[in-house]
Amino acid sequence: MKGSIIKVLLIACLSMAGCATYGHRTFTTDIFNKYHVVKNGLSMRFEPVIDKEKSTWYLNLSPAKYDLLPVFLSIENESGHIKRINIDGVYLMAKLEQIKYASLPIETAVKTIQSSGWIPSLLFGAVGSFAAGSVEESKDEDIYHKAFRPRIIEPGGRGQGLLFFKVPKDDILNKEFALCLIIDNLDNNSTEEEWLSFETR
Amino acid sequence: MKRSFVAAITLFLLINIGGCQGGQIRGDFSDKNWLHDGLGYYLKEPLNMKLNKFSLGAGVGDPHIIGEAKTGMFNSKSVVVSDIPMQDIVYNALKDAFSKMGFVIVDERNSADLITTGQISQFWSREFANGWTPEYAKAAVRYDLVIRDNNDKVFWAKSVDVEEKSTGIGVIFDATSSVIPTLKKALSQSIFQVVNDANFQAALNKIRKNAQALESDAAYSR
Repeated sequence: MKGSIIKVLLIACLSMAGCATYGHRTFTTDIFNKYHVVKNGLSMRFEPVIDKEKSTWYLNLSPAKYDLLPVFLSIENESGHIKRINIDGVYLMAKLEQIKYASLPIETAVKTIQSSGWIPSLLFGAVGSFAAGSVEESKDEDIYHKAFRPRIIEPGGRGQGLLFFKVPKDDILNKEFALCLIIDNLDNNSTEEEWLSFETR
Repeated sequence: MKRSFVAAITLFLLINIGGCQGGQIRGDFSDKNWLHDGLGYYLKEPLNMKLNKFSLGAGVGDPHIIGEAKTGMFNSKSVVVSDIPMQDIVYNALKDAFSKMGFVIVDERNSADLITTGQISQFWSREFANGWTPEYAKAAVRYDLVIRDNNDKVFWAKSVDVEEKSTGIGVIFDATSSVIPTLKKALSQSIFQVVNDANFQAALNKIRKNAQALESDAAYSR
């Protein structure tokens, strides 16, 4: 009896320790700046998040596992005009195959990651489910924070974050992609497309 | 033995099914008393403003669903529903604030000095409750607001981005009741962010100076 109580306490302690180990990494352009392009007064730094070590450190997960390809994007507006980065029409194009991948709204990306969250509850019952739930909530919140939001960037301002694309795991590596951005120039009511090319080698 | 096993399994299933079932919580945004006490900036002379309804960003689903709460003994997920769609909530709040600032809200574009358009990308509140750590609610209000003059030139534009977290010791055991107040607080804060934006105020001051300059030019020519 005494042994079982100790076991239960031990499991509870381990579960709670699991809750406490989730760490949030704050935004940094220093780790995802492999590509840099300046076009029409916009200075854009970007990099696909494919490096397992980097993505695990930054997101606490491996996005490819969920058939997700996140692309980190940082845009500084040096144009002197007010621009709006419109992510509704953003897509990724696999250059050789000419396959288009639409960007996922952040809510959908989070749901894709969440869909595996029921496994701990089956394996470990209520304790595991609650503990896993705690970590999952922290993870969701973290990803929400790191998402690139459609935004108005005033001259001198900057917008940055992750864009998520639904790309099958096997199609992610060793590809040449082109990211199509839709940018509204609010000053003259015009819309322009910017293409950003990168490789996933 | 067999009977108690069946009873245990039934109880387990009932608990799990109960845990999966989500209810509905209603959020009331019809009362505006919670909005912006003390805006901090008021017009000396009225300006006419035409406020257009907000559009919704691609990531926004049903505009009546404004959050998620955890209810019941097993923290089942429940949706938070508002009778007023989120674009109307934000529109009404801004309309109220601009009126209090001294703008005259007009229906006709031709009679407006300034015209606003906007898009909502997030209007959401969520309860975080896992049974282990203190509970809290977190709300996010994000929208783009573009104000143009009557020559269609951008007068001012901003991406409003506010996050609020529930406060108080009382909510750490059950934060469901703070889901809506936290969202209201975030909306109120977003309005405050618009009204007190230094560039917005500078642009408004410029209009007034221009108006004064025109008046003195007219006086000079007389």
